Amino acid sequence: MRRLAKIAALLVLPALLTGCWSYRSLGDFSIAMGIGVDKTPEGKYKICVEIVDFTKSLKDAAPGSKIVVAEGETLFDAVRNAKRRLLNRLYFGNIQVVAVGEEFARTDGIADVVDWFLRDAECRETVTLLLAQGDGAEKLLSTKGIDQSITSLELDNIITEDQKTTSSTAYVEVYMAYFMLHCPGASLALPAFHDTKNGEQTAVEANGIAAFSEDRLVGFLSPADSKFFLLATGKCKGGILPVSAGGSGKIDTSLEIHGTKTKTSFTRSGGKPSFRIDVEIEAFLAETTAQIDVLDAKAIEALEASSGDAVKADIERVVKAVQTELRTDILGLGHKIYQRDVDLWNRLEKDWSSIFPTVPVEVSCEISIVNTAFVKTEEATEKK
Amino acid sequence: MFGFLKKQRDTAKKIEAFNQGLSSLKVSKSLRENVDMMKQLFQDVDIMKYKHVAKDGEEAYAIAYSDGLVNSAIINDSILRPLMLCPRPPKGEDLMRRLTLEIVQINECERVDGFKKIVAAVTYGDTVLFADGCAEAAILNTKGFALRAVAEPDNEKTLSGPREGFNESLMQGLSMLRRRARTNDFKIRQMSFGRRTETGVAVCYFDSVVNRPVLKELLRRLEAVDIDGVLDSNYLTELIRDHRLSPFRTIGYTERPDVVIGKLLEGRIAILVDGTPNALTLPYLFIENFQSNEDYYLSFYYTSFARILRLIGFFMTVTVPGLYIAVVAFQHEMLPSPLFINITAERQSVPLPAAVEAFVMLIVFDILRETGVRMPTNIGQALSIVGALVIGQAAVEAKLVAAPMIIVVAMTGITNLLVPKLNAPVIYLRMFVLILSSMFGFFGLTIGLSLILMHIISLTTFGLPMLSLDGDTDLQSVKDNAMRAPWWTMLTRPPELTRNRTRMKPPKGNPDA
Repeated sequence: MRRLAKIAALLVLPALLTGCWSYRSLGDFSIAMGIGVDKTPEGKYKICVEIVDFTKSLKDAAPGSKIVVAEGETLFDAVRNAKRRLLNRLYFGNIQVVAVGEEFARTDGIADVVDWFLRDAECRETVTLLLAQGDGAEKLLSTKGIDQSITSLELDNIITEDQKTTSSTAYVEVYMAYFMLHCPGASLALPAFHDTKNGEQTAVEANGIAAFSEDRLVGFLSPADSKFFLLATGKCKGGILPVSAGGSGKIDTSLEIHGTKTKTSFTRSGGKPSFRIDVEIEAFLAETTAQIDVLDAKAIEALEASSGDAVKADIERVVKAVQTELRTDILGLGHKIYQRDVDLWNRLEKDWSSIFPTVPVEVSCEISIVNTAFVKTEEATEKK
Repeated sequence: MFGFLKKQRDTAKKIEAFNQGLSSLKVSKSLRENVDMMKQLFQDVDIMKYKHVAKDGEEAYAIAYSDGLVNSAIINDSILRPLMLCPRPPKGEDLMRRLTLEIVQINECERVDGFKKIVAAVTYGDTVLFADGCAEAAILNTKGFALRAVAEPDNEKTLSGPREGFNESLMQGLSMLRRRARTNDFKIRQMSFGRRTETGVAVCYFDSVVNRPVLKELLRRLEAVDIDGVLDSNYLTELIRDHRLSPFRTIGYTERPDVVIGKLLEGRIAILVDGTPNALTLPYLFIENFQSNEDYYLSFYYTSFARILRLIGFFMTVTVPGLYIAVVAFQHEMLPSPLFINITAERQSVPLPAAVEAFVMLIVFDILRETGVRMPTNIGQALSIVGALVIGQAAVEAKLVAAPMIIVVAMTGITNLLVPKLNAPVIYLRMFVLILSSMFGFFGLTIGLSLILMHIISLTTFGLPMLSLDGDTDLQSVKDNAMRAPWWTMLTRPPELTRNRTRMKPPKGNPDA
């Protein structure tokens, strides 16, 4: 009897131990894959939810998607209003992306979006956050991508793959966005997307980086500049560096980034900070039409030096642009001061937005070519 | 009413008389009386045959035997012929001794004076010899009954290694063991069980390796057995095992003599039962559920992998249905998005909830399996085709069952076959875990597995823990668990089983050593 009581207790206890254990059948869901947030002209929240379309047979094709649109006083209100148009309740556990409309981000700020997605029990903290350029998030989510039949999956895949191969945009999950919003001396940079044409087809395309000041959108970095921005902040994991090897200034060689190391150091002289960004790049020689002998160590050294200088100039240019044009610290320089010298930061914090555009930033870039592939340049061999 | 009570008492007395009567019946000096007694004991047993031999016109000897159990040629040549040809020794106490020593040409002669042994012997193919004027009888070995030939056991097929298996004869079984263990250290103790069947049982062990307390405990438990018949070794298993209600085995079984000797060499004890090819081995450790005799006959690389597969198979066959329910009905976040979408798509417009579906499909699978086992082979094949078609194809296409459930049931069924020795417990454990999972999701699964683990750890086999987690392990004792180490590294016997642990000396002159 006592044993039975013990077993009964063990069976009942787990029910009390946890919050979410109710039986929820898979058939009772509308699975939301992505969500877009915009504003109506009246200032209400307008959301569009991309849900998986199960009405067609899945035997031959991948599942498609549908867009549900709803409005509300708050974000959660809008989400609940969406249910009025649906048979089943929305399930947010598998959301891939949250897209914020450009207009909305510029005028209202994205702080409440980040807040709601972090607070909601179902959403993952690792949902990718992105900014939809142009006519709003609904337009972007309604655009069919090239590969996936579900646009949200396509967007998420583009972003996660981009950082390894292209470095044309940033990769920010909701929890990271929250940290960047609340982190002293750093501003938020989100991936920017727009809808475009791929021949006859529609397509979504990563289009650089959106820079925020506080939680408001202030401007964009182009995809080409994004790479140098990522190099400067140490988030670059791959990509191509087009450089000139022939010496004429003509771009004739591609270096494929294999690994990078970025060190940002800061020195203080007389209450004024100055920064130094050291970038080290390991690269492969992936393509060249220049007449250089890749087996000649001196030629490679020369190429390393010249391309290093070129990349250095680019990084400097982008850093300058961030400082003077965007005027928001998406480089996280202020945060470096906060980490190393909190007294100085306390003094500078109030005026940081006016100081940041003027702080001196020195950049160095060192490229080492570790691999040149098998192909010898013919003319170079003949000369010997 | 009182008459009814009296009748009952009479019946009880008769039974008592039957049980006690035989042991008190003694062989008399008169040949006629003895034969009459046999005829009375075997009244209405028409296969009982009697033959008298006369000397000088006077009935001098009589033999009795069961037709069909004896070899007639032996009786004719070695018993009747010498009795008839040789002169008759003088009557008296010495008569039977002289008959067995000088006249009867049988290798196994036992002189007895009570009828209990005579009955047991005659019913087992021996012939009893009475002589006029002597209060003794002789039991002569004339066994000659038909037996199933020695063959490879169907339940324990192997790719390599010995193919011999026990048959239903205890003596043949013992001979197979005896041939494999040719030392006087190998002990065979015979006894019999079953008041009505008097089934012969042999307890075998190696005297210098056996765990004495276990042997003592076994003999104590065997002594307490009182049953009318023993038709298979499982009768004894259920009567003498620990934790009688646990679904897990606490006594092992095998049909192979090589397995028996292997277990004996590790300090275990074997019980052979007449009339069944299944021998028992004990104590039975939990890891033995995952061991196979072939593990020791094939390359240790291969068999270590196979053994790990069996462990995984056990884990999977218990948890997979529960895990599936926990994931699709509770913790949806566990699934990667593409899989989540696919499973959801499959589950659209399926009538039953996933948990109920799992129960139904598991029961259907068990029905198919059980019918397949009991059916004659040719029908069994047709059945499996129908089962596979009906369940696998039609049910999914008719949207009665979701396709992932078929995969789950198939996985459960296939992994179940990896651990045939655990087929009884896994049916219940699987359902147990499934019920908990359908109520509490992963919490239920965790609690269920914890309870199962607690139960397994608490099991004992003849006083020894079946799964020892006391932390007091050394390198030697883990060499035959999850993997099978090469023979030259397994220097000692399992510490739980025996005190005499040295199996071999560290090899000398080994190129690797």
